[in-house]
Amino acid sequence: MSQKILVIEDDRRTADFLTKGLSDAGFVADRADDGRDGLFLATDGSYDAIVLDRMLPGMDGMAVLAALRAAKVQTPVLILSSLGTVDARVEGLTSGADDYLSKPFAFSELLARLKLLMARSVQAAPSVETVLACDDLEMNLLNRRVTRAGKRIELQPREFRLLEYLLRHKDQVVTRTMMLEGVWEYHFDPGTNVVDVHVSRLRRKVDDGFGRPLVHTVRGAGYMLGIGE
Amino acid sequence: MSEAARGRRALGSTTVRLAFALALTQIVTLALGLAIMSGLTQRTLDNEARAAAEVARDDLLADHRTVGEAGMQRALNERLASSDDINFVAYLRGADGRRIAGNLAAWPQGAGTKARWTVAMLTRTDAQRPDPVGYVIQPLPGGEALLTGQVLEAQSQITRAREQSFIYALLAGLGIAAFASWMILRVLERRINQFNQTADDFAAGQLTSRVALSRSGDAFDRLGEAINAMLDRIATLVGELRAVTDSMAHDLRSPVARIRSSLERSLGETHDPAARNALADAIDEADGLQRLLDSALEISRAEAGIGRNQFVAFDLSEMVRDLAEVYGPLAEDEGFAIVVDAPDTMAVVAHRELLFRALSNLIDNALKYAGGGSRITMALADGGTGGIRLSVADDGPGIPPEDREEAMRRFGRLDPARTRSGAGLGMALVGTIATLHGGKMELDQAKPHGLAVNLDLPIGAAE
Repeated sequence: MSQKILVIEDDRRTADFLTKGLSDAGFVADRADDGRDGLFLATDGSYDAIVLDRMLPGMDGMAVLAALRAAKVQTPVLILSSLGTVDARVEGLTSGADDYLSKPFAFSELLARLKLLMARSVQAAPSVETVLACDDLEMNLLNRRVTRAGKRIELQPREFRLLEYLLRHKDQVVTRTMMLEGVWEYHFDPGTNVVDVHVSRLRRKVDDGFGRPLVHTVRGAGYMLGIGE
Repeated sequence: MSEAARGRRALGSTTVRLAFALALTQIVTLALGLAIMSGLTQRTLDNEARAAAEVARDDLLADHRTVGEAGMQRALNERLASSDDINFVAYLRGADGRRIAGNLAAWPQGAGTKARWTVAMLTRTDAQRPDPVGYVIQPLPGGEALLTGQVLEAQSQITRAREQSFIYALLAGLGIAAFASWMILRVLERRINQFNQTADDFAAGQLTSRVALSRSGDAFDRLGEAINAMLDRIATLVGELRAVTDSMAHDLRSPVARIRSSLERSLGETHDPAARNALADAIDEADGLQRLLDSALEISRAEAGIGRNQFVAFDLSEMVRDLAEVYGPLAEDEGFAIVVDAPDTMAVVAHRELLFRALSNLIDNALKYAGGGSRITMALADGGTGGIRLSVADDGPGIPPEDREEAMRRFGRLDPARTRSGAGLGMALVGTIATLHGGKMELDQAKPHGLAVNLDLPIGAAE
């Protein structure tokens, strides 16, 4: 059975875009145009994730979230909002949201974050992995050795952390913001190509001289580690 | 902060002047009072001496009339011999100019046979030096002349004592005046400091800060009420501005979101390389527009003091090293080395994400504008008394002092042709982030050349 996602968004075009994209990605997407309807649909707890706009007619997004959490509905919630400032984000996260994404957003980023949320809520205790792999690239987390096709690759600590992050999100698009957040724990959109340089250095070590490229650039979104199309 | 300090200094000089004026008024009043009193005393003493001299004269004249010349001489000698009035002086001059009786060595020089109250230096027969003597002279029917008077010696002693007590009184008065001025100063300062504190807090973004009123209805209360009314008005305006910017963000960013969504959808549907390139560029531009809106929003929010409740404790040294790591490769590609000069740990309480953004803006700026340079130094040092100094310096061309103000302004750019990219909000955002932390940003000359941006922030966590 496919997973169900509830989209609570008053802006018709954004809502259309979201439900269409989510359907294309294989989810069942329901939508609500205002906070009251959204809360009503969400309270039965049958959804796997909720995408919630912050500014809604009738009932504010934060009020919907508070009501949901008060009713002990623990469905993961991703807040979607134009209030993209740092404070709005922190406020959203501290009042019970699981993630926060500001407009304009890349759909791929929304999708990547949603998948992460749902995976997190399914596996309550993540299994302790000691080896991460993609194709013939292997990372041993115990002795911190990275090999490709059996050949040792020397990585600097930051490159190791970046590759670990990419491997943990294998075959998913990760944005520059997500990488800064995941590797250095700063939520920040640098605007410059500060992340690109890190990736291109890593790519040189991981892909150069091997048959098939594993680090892919996803235009308009970010990067993806995988075997590729 | 600096404005408040300037205000305090100005206040200091005003109150000090006020205190001086107060003390001076008190002292002048005291001196005037003492002078009037001493003048009155002097006149009373003079009058007494004069009365004594005239009474002695009248007594002797009466003797002369009743008991004759010889009787008067006897009475005079008796009077001189008795020690009742040691200040009494007399001289009876015969018609031939000789002394018949008396205790003065000589007739006052130039004096005739009749004189009203006169003061002169005269020598007594039993004294070595002349004394101040006040006297009157009366001619007698036989051609003689009688001088009676008082030595004013005792009076001069009284005068000296009076002068001394005058000085003591003045000194005591000075002390009392200083103490009173100090008390008044303290009361004034305390009331005025309440205003200062309120203004400081308000300027630092605490928009609910108001002057506490004593409810006595005095001038300070009336001033306080006026200031509070002004602060209410400003707080209302700031609140409205914030509401406007927030809803403007919503209104302006939603279309951007839709544009970006459309572009992204198109990117997924076309395979024409030229179209894909154009779409990706357009997405980048939309992202840039969003960042500009973000920065503008962030500035107005930081200016309004929003975010203070999200200060957390963290290690700033670690953040500085993280930044060097994050920006290291990019800087290297641009030909710069990032050097970190920071202690092992530096515990602070601050807005972690905003401080990170401020520092990354400064590094970005250095990379963009320090052309020809090769080194970016991030220094962190303990400024003492809970303050820290963060500085990002490059060895590029720097900014001349006269252009530094412009560089810190919103949308202020030193590049008139606007050839280089950048929204011009970077430095302004750093400045407001420093203000949000109760600190300040200043631009300085790096040694030997280049730009140094210093952030002095009172955010050190007390150990």
